Amino acid sequence: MVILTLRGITRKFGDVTAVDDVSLEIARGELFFLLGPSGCGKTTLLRLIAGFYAPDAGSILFDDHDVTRTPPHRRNTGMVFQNYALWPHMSVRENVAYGLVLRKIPSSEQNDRVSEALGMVRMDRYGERSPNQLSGGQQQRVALARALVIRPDVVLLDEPLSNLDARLRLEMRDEIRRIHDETGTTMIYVTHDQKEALSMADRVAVMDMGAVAQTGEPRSIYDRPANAFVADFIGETNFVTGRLTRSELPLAVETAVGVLHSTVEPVEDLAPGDEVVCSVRPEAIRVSDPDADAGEDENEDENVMAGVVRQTVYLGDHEQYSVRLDDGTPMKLVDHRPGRRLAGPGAPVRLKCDASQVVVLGKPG
Amino acid sequence: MPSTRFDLSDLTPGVLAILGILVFFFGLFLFYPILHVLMNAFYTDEQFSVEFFGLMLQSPVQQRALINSFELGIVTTALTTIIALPMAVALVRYDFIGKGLLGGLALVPMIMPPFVGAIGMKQMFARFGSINLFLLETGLIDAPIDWFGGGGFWGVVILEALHLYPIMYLNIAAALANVDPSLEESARNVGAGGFRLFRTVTFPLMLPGYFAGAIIVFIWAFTDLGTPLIFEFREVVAVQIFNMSTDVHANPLGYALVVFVVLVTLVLFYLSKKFFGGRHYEMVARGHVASASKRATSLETVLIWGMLLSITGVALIPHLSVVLTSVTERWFMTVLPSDYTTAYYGQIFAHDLTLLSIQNSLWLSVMSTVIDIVLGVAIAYLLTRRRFPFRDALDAVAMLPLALPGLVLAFGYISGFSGTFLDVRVSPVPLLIIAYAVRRLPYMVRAAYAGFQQMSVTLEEASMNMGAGPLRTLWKITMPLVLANIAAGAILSFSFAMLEVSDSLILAIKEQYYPITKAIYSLMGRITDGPYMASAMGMLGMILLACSLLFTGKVLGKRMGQLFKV
Repeated sequence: MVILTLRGITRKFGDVTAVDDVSLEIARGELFFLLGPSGCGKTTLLRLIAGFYAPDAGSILFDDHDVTRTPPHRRNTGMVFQNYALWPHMSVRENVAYGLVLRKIPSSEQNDRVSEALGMVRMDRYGERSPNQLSGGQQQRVALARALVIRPDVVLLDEPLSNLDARLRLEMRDEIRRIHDETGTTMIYVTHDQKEALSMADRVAVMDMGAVAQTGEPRSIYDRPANAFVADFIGETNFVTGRLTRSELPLAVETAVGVLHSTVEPVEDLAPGDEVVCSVRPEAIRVSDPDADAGEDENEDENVMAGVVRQTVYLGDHEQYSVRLDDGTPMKLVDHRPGRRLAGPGAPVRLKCDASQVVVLGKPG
Repeated sequence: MPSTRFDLSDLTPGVLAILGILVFFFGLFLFYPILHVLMNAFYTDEQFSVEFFGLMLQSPVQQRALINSFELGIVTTALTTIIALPMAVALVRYDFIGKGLLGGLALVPMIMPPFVGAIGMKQMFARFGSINLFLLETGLIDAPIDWFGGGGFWGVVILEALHLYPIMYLNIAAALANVDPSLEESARNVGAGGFRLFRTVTFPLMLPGYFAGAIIVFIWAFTDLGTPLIFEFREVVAVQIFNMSTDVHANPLGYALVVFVVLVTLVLFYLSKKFFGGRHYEMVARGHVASASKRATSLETVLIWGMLLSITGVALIPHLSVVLTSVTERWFMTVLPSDYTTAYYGQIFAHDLTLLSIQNSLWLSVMSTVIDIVLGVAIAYLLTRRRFPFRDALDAVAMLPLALPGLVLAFGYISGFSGTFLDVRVSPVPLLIIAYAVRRLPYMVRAAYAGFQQMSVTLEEASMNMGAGPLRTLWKITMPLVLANIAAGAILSFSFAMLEVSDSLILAIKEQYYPITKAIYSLMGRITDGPYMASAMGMLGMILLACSLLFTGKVLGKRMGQLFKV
């Protein structure tokens, strides 16, 4: 059941196109993430949904109502601002009650709903405080209560955790997810923190230069990035450049370190002869001794690349290896059973990865 | 992310309506009067001519007036520089005990229009005034000294300088604080020190800021009307314009004089732009160390204290003499008054002229302040919250009255609206209110601007997001949060309006409409109790202005100085 529809939304500031032809459908009750680097247009898109900007082209629908030209105060969205934006001349309760007063809710019901909302964010004991007397995390909770109490069609969160310290951030992630699950409210959450998105989201839209690069569940975005930008932005990855020699599964890519095969259906349209990059996640790579099993696994399911270890970093629960392939391409890999060291700096190694772990992407730019 | 370019979605009907009102207001009450004067100065019988300027330059009286006014301006500017420069260096570059107190005290003389001080000064420094009598009694001199030599010239200069040096100080101090210490350090590093360092590095770097202050001081002294009138130093441009304003139709010379003042103003601002506009030194660059002030040694502390206390002390003599005069029962041929009384404070509330003038001033100032609040808040709101075409132009126009002599505006009103329903001969009330409002609008705009700027826009957005429309958001969220700033601006506008001199003297031509300042001026003409009552009135004004400056300073804190800069 779709609650929010964006169709071809474009918004320019002067010569800069901040949001470029974005179309999205968000379902009722979804916790939907807009993820991207700073300047990618995610906050602008959120503000377009809230009504603080009008789009130059395209339309915005809540359920089936076109709200493209509706001013922000008639949209019934609840926004949580990056700087919380609590009104310093009102108490916590007054801040939360403000939207209810505007909606002419009877005062006894107002009281109940404010208490309920403050209870939801575990701030019920702070109602009479002034926002200035609260810590950052507490202000964040009040801002959330203020947005929830009006029972909005959709809650909009603009980098809500970016002003909190690392510990509090982790705690609030769980809190927001819990509140989302308890209230069943549709939420759109803007962040540049991919861990936040991957760990919390039902679905994620990755944005780049004003456009949506990929939409999908966290797992599919991580495992099957639609293009090189997404692969690079979400998590860490290694890129090996080459030329596509077969476009049917399994794909074959000729690279400077040998032919790589992939059993992952590409999202982009690729033809034999195209310049491509193969994305391989660090945790998908295994290390084996160069002599031990040479020539044993020359099949299409397993790819092998030869290189030399440059550096290793031991981190307790895992160990990071930096390897330089024979053609000079740098590769990073992670060993999650660092009980024994696989190879030291200077040692020649053979890197192996399964064809199901190689994603072939069009070469960017 | 929002670009500085304007956005059509910001041009709502409400914004357009406000812009329309502003264009109308400034067009009618700022540009039209000035243009009217220009037209009348250059067009006689629908012919372009510069005939009046010829007449102006030929008349020996006008020649004298022009020369006198220039001399007044130049000498006053020089004197304020001599006073303010060491002050600024001491207060910016040194840390010492009591710095805050002395710095604040040094600004106090700004609170009184110099012509009120002139009343007291005349008592003190007259031929047989306190100072001469004291010197005669102690035998230091044999004959009374003519303190205001040159027909009052020095009297005017001293009062102007003692009134205006705080403005010069604020500008120089700001300029000095902006000089990157590393530039001085590198000069020291290559061997320049002491005065040479100041002359070759520091002074050139702070010159743009100094020049900005100097222009304000020069124009102020060049066009001040009240002080020369009190000292009866009548051969100055301002007084000449004042005399001619009573009869704009019969004597067109006034137009030429006003145009001349406008020209001088324009040329000065043009020169400062030309020579310093392009030389905006980027001094607060990376690696900037907070302006280096050093601890004063005990000897330096003593010297600084001595200097600052004597400057402030001398500058407060006019104020003290006004206080003294206002409580004088008898003061004739004695150093200090022989009998004291508070009767004059009672009398000013009993006497028709004074009581009426207090009522008039209150009423006029309240009305003009209301206009300032409405326009000032609207302008500041547009400047901080909306993007629209000609934004910079609106900013510049709203600040223009800071640079425009009150004399010019008042003369423009007299001539431009003569024969209309706003004619001052019918009633000066509407034009007095508008003149006060226009003149004091920049303070209101700047105070409100500071308030809007320090308030995050998201507070307003959060309100709209909760369902409040723009007006309710303005009322429930924005206004309460910038109220202190608006109050500060309003109080400042109000008190300056209460003590506005040139507009009041020129526009209020009937006694029933006299504001306080014009009443003080006319009281001075009365030989018996005139000066005493005038001083009592002046005291009231001083107390009012001092209180409002204190309040404004509390609210605005360090941003207070911005109000007095161009």
